[in-house]
Amino acid sequence: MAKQLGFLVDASLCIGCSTCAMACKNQYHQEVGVVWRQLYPLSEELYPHRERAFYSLACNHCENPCCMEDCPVGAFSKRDDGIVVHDTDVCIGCGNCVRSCPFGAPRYNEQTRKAEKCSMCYQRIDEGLLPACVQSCPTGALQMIDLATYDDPDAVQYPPGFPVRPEINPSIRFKLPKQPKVVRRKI
Amino acid sequence: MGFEELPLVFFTIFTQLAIGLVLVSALQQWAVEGGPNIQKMRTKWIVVLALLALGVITSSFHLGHPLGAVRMLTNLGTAWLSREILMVGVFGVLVMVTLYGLIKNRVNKWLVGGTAVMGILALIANAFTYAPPSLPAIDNLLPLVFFGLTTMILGTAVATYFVPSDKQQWLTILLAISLSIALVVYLAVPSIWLSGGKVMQMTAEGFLASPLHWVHIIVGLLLPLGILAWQKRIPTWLPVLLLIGEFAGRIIFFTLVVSSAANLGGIY
Repeated sequence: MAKQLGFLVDASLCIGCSTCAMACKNQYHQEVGVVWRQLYPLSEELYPHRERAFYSLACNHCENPCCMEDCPVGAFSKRDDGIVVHDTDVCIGCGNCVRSCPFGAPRYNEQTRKAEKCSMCYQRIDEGLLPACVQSCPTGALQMIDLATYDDPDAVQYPPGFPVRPEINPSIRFKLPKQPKVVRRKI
Repeated sequence: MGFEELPLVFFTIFTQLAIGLVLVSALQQWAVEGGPNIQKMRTKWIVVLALLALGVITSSFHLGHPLGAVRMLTNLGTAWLSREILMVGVFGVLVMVTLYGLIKNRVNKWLVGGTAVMGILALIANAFTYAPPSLPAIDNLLPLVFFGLTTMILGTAVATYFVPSDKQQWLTILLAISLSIALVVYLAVPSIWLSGGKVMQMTAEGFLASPLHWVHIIVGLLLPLGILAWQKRIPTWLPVLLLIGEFAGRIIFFTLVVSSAANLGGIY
């Protein structure tokens, strides 16, 4: 398999602090209301505990990105390392990518009247740095992985709470949240 | 409701009405004894061209940067939106060529038939453009069914303005069949969605709770069907009711179908 960078979301380590989302905002200063990375709490149906669990999600830099497929002006491209890059200079703001993505990654910017999305900080990666969100995570819950070499039997691609889209093949892996330990007092 | 989708509502309805009128025109060549009246046909094709122009103009309001629309043909290989623009464009050119012939008092049956076939291709591209993978409820052939029904309902109804009243019987039958199929489809589809995954269920619940869905069913389908059964013809005011119904249905198509991204972290 060719190099394919992606994110590893370890929900067993995530404490829901939103530092990843804030780091992204600090890095790119998106307009108010435009979010490239977002923290999604698992619903109580999936994780019925007082303790909460979270998925930190952004663009999944899919193997077969539907944003790239559906963009009428070819504003999306895939780099050799698998990162899906959106060229805002080419974008005409038709919103087709926003409508197409099952993971809600491209967002519409009302100010520029164009779509935009996570670039996996490819400019930082090219300089040997980690993406801002990965670098900022205080618990190591968010990591960058290369799916060509990554092989962890505990990681899953489609955990509960994440749409199953094998034809698109999102470049993301998850580690499931741990079940909380019930501590009982001796009476 | 998000007003950003309104241009698409107008664009799809106008182009589908235009395609419907061309389809009826093509059928009329063989279905009606003596063929169509050239003067009325000319007026009809002027209306078709005007509807297409109106559709294309309104659709440009959906773009953040309308001047970049010329670049929308650059991804024909994979993007249905690019294919839709190409197909509608070719359809428009064929409509203009046919209209030019009509102005010169010439009717080329094969050109009319070819334009109708191109209209069907444009309709298919139109439908697949709005069946993205993010919307499980309509990531299938349903948009084609919905758009096809709109084409037939509006096309046959509005065509009555251009067909003499003594030659409208076949249009009445065609409209009654289209309305009956549409009624079954629009009543059944939300129930089918209810049996699907969580996001499909959310779509069904949104439709069933929306007054616009019931306006579509009652004003746009049930009432016109009753009127057809009672009067055995298409009254001149009926297309207005049908348009109201189709607009109501199309607005909820573009605003109430839930994306799988809306339930991240929840059950699928």
